[in-house]
Amino acid sequence: MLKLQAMRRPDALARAGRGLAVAAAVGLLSACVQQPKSMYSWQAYQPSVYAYLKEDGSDNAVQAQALEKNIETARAANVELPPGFRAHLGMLYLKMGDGDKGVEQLQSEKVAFPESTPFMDFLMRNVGKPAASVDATSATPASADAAALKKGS
Amino acid sequence: MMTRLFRIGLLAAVAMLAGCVAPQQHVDYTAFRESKPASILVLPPLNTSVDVAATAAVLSQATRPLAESGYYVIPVGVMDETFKQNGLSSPDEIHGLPGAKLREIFGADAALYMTVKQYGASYAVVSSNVTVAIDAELIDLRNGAKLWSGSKQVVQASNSSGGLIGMLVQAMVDQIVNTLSDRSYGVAGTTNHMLLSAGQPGGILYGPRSPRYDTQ
Repeated sequence: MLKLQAMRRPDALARAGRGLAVAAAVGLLSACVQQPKSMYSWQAYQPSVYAYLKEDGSDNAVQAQALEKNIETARAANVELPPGFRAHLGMLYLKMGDGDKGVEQLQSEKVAFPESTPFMDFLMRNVGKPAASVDATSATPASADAAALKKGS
Repeated sequence: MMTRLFRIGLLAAVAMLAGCVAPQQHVDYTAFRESKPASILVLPPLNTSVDVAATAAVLSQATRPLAESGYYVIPVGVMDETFKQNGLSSPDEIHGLPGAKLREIFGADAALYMTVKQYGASYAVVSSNVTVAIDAELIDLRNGAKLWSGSKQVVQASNSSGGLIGMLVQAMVDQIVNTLSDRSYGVAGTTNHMLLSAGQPGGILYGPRSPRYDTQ
């Protein structure tokens, strides 16, 4: 009897040890990975920007279509679109020659994120310039602003 | 003998408690707190690695951690295009632009200047590592004050098992996979996330759009 009890203590200790080890392992897996709810619905935005920056010849229309689908998904899930999403889509439309849709997206970036106002206004001022009309360069500063940027350097 | 398990368990528990506490860095947040930046302009990073793809991979994935930390991030693709249309395509030139000019065009409160130190895979005989290392500095565009700086290196080792032959095969497979699926791009995303997320020792502070902004 006495012997049995003596056996039991290390047993309990071992069990406690195992429990601690398991708890620690689970803790290690979860504790450091803070996964609070995402503030935004990211989806294809960053990969789309990557493709754009790499200039890998990806089709602007295909990219725009993918982002439009993302808008539907985000709306259905009731999650906000991330900063820059609408402006990027707007730029794709401007590059495709669709000035109306482009400006519409730049406007909605401004509404969703008032912090973007100076840059969006800068872009739209240039879209509105007759010389810039609806060609590929209309998304970006025309010569006057180009000079302004360069002057500072 | 039986108590060894207990001791191991205890050790693991202690390790867990210690695991999340990074070595205490003495970061001075005085300027950051005074500045209260709401928007960040992430400039095209300088690239001192040997891979030209580093700039696009790091720049395109910097938005998410900063935005999830509560900041408005100037759209990086549109920014890049704006620079290009103005004849500025080299990050060196762009990093040299005066802060006041950047603020005038982009309207951002602060700018993030990054340097990619390492990017890509290195192959050893039996395994290959993908390494991405980034330095970053956050500068107030209204007064030029340095608000924060940090650096992070992430090394992703290839998983290998099954003896030497298995490892050699793994190394070959890795080379092919690295080329095809752009593993470095994924590691760059992880590095950005670890470097630019708020709420960690030595990290950036939460921005105004974060629900944690007022509690920090």
